[in-house]
Amino acid sequence: MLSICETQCIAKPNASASVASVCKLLLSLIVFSGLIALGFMHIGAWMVFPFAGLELVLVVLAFVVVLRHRDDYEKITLAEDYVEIEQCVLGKVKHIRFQRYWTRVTLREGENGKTSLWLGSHNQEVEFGRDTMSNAQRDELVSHLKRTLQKLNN
Amino acid sequence: MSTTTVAHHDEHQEHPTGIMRWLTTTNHKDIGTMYLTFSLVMFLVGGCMILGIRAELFKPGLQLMNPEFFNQLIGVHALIMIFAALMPAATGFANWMLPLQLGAPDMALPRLNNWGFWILPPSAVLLTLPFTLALFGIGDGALATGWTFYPPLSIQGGLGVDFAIFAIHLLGISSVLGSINIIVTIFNMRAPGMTLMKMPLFAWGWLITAFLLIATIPVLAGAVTMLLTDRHFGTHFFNAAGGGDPIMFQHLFWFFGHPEVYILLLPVWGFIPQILQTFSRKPMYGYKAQVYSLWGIGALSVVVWAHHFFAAGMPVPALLYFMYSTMAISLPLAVLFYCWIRTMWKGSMSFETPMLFTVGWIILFGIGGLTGLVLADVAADAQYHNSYFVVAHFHYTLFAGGIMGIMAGVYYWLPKMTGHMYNEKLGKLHFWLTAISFNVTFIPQFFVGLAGMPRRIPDYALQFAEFNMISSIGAFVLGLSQLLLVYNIISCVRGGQKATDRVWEGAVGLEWTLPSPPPYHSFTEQPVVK
Repeated sequence: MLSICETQCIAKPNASASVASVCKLLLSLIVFSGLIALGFMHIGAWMVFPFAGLELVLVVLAFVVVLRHRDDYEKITLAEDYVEIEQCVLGKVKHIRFQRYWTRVTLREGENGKTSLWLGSHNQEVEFGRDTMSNAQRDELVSHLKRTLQKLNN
Repeated sequence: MSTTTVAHHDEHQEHPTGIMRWLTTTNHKDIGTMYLTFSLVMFLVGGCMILGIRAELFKPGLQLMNPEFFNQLIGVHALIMIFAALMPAATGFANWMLPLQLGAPDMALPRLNNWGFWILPPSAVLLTLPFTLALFGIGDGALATGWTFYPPLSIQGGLGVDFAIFAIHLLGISSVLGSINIIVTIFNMRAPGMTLMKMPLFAWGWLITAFLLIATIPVLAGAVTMLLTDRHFGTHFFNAAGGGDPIMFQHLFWFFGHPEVYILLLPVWGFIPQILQTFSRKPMYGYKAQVYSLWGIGALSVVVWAHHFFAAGMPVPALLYFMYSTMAISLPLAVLFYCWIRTMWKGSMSFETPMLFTVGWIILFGIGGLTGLVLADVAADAQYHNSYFVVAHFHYTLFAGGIMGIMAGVYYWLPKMTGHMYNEKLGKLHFWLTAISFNVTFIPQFFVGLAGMPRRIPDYALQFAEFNMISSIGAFVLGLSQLLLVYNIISCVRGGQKATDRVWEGAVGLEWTLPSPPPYHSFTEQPVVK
């Protein structure tokens, strides 16, 4: 997922579930399975309950594992005298800065036809949007960055 | 200024080869292939067991086996066909096709996916091992209770019951892990633009199946664990002699067992409309109606369980409730049938093997559904309960409705999976032999059932001899004709005419936008659905 405005570009991994929808889903599963387990416990089949509980814990854990990457993002900010790349993975934010005038934007083609977008200067590079953008989106972003950098540098 | 250099690498394009590829793989297509292969092997194993049974029933009297071994074969045949053949086949398709249809790079939890599969082979070993152990004088063979484990027989049974209980636990764990993975994948990994109501119907079918599994597997797990403690730890949950209630086990078992029928059928109902629209070359009719009907059937399936044991006795209001609620399932099912037929109506139809299996499936599954209505009637059920009518009914539902549907799916997606076209002539021959011999096998069973022949007996009255002979001949032709499927799959994997990306002229969906076979990592770029 890529969003571009004049001096800022944000790439995020695709996640089709919202936290609210997952909460609703989990709540309905817990209520439904819980009612079944309680019903059987009521007639003496209490051993259904621990299995249902264990299973619901697994379902919740599975969504936690997947959704914790939901807020990951990569951001490029074109500031007055620098270009900042911000990478957020599992809540840990890393900032990488290059001097704006010297920043080079490169698009490379891999063996499998997949392109990769690199930003760098002074023999140091960082890849942007490796798993979050398509080739077409990378093309679009490269053109935008080159055009904007040229405008700002002049 | 802090800077980072990140080397570009493509290590995720590489994967192990040989046996390690299959043991350690987290790739959805590899795991799907393993599920489908396991399912085919177990389908043949379970099929061989039933051929032994039909050989015994070829003539009245005891010919080949003693009654206890006969009962063991019946119970293990059912468990294998349900848990080790049909369910893994549907899970195999889910693994292969859901990520492709949803535009996802893989399943949401790939490692969990690997564990989910590798639990299956040990459970199959547990189910069948007691037969082998008995040959060496250990134990008295597999469980002889039928797949339903009813106490008190299961409390009194031998070592085979314990093996089956542990096998059920493992199979249940595998199903739950698979279901969790599928729910998370469908909810979180759909391509941008693919709203829930734009999902392929197969994804809907599997989503409801996964919910049903999550709701009902703990009930089965609890029931068989209580059975285990009754057998070995002195509890009396189901032991009437100790104040327990054997009927409670029937409630627990069928609370799982009836939804299980829909667990086996819902994924098939998901992809059958896709096959129909492909070979009718027109859009699917009533997508929303089908989605709501699938939900309706899923919801009703968990509130009708007691129709399986009307004969055990229950209050009249309960009888009436379970009768009417069971019959109510026919309403959403009728909507599905209408939509399937309307999808074909005035279409530019062609009858390649997947379409032949699908049309045959609609007719034969229809017979299974209609005979189910007869059994839902409390008054009629008293006559037909525990007779061969029931056996014929559930084979029209589960063989025609389940396995023939899976076969339609195999022929439909095989060229996409392997990159080669299968042998169309052999495919059509396989369909006709299967459809005809299936009817030759099971129509006589309706007749002997109506005439009063009970199920699960190795010997029978002389009046049933001719129909049983015809049924056995049909079963052997049915069994042997499945070798055509095996040959067709193997030859398709090994080579053949190259399949195009779209394979079928009328095919619609993201999976057909990829090459045949799809690359190891399916979508290196995120597709967008408009």
